[in-house]
Amino acid sequence: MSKKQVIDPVTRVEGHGKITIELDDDGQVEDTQFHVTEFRGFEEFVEGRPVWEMPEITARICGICPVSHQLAAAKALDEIADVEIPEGAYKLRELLHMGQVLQSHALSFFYLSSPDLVLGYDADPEKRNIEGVLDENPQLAERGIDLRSFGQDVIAALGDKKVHPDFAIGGGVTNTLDREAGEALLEQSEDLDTYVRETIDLLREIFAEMDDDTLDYATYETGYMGLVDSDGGLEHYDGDIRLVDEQGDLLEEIDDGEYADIIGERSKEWSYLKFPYYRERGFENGQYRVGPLGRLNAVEQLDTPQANEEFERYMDAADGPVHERSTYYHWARLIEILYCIERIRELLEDDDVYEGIPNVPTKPEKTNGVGVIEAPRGTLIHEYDVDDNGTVTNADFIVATTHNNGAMNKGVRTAAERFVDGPEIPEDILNKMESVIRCYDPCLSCSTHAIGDMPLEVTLEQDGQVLDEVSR
Amino acid sequence: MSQATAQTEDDRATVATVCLGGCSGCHMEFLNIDHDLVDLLEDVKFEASHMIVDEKGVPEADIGIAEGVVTNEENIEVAEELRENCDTVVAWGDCAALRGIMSLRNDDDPDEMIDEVYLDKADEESESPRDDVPVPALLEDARPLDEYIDVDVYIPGCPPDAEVMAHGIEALLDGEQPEIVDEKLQYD
Repeated sequence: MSKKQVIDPVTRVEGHGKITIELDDDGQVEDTQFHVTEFRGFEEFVEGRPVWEMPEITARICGICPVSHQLAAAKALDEIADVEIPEGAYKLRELLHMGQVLQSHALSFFYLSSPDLVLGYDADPEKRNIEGVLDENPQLAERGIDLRSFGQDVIAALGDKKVHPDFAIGGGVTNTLDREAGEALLEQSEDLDTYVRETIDLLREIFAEMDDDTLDYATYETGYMGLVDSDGGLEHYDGDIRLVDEQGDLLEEIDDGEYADIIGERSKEWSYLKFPYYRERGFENGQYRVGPLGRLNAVEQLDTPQANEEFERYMDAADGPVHERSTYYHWARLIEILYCIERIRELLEDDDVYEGIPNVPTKPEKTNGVGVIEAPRGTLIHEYDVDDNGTVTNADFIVATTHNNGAMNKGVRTAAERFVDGPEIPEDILNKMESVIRCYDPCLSCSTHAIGDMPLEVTLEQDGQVLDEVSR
Repeated sequence: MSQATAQTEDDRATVATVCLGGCSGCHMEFLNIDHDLVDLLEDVKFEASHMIVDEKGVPEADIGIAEGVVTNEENIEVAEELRENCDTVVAWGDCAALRGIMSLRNDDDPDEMIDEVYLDKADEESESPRDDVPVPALLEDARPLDEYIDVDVYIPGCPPDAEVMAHGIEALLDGEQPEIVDEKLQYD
């Protein structure tokens, strides 16, 4: 196929999603490309710097989930220092992470996705935003603000700041939690589980009324990946990497340090986002999904009571052994919010977070370290090679959204094959492409969380000639 | 702003925010005004702001606020549009105001960086997205906003505190130059 691409330099904004659809000689869809246009170079410029700086530096990869990067880097540092962190430190890191997953999921659902879900995908774009939800269903919007705020307050109680806190370090964390702050958080959390469960009920009603085209066209088979504990339960902070197939059957369950044995990475010249794939199945067939949908398809249970109850209701609603609907990311995300609230309460009632040992001394003992964590959007991998002084000689990150790149492209192709026929782009293709991509809550440049209409361009090409273009 | 100064929707003051080469952390921190957002929306209409409303490029607005460093050609276009379309331009956060963390790349050659990431750290069949990809070219260096456009107000911090930003916007709407004092100055 032709490599020629057309772009409109005027309407582009950072992180702009671009899609090219290539037609064959008969006017049928031959290929689709979902381009990601941002490059920042963290993997490169950290080389030559002391590895101990990594938690602070790599947090700046993303202002939405800085804590996830900080923790992945800190876990890699534990390996390089060859230390087991104290139990108190372990629980404090998990507490920090639960606050992070909660606030990020609340942003995704209430601020970014609820306008589509509550007001409708075809609502006036002027109204299709959090302000519109505040008008239409103020209780929902205000509860969303409370939930996100609670997650951010957990982070700030530990690391002083809500965005870019300095808390996780190699060997543990900087400090324990102040008991008064912990008690205040417990009080603040009182009604939040009810908020989430009522929102899940609302979402189920919305799904029940949704037409099949909206609910189902981003439904397709892939593998699914997530961390699990030793009993196959949901785990966000630390566990083995589990990969299951399209039927939910186990493909791999490995120590997180061995990720490179099962995951390959391919770069394509038309995107700045790489394509990880399951090596055993190869690049073409090795797509898998991560994040809330992927995790809940990979695990057997959730280890908190209310979340597990909702998990069972959710799995009972599946047509088969797993959920294939990309639209159900939203449902899975809410169940994880509930899990975070319950887990935060358990941790706040544990004396170790107040009285435990926060850290142990570190110095470079090994020349390689891997840190893997379940970030809100999926499995996040940091790997560092260092010299004897602890200076970074090589860094490799696979961020959550990257794992979903193959699946997002597959979704775009599925939609194109279903709706494109001939030389013109159908009127509402932008909406359809957008809702495929938005399900994944992608952090394209760690900043592409457009509310309402995602800026998107679709180009239709045949033999390198542009037949049609639409954008907004 | 107080309820007394609340205006009808049509004559609300307008604000546009954009993210250049940044992490969205400034935008995220701004949302930490939590329920105050509801009050702010009575006085202010966000014409563009990717966390709050539909993003439409760089519309006309009373105040234009940029997060992030200028790191690729597209960032220059957006910065210039912001200057052209907005009466007051604010450099928001360390990256826009001072160049920030992304400038750690300035010692490296952009093309070499791209090849190392996409060829050396990927499988053998990989291609480098350097020549053909429909993406804006990286600039030789990542630089702060005022090396490309005139900036009226600087609010440093990584990120600046949400209350500082809300205060800054309100002061500008009252025709005052915002001042950040004492404990609200954020050093990282």
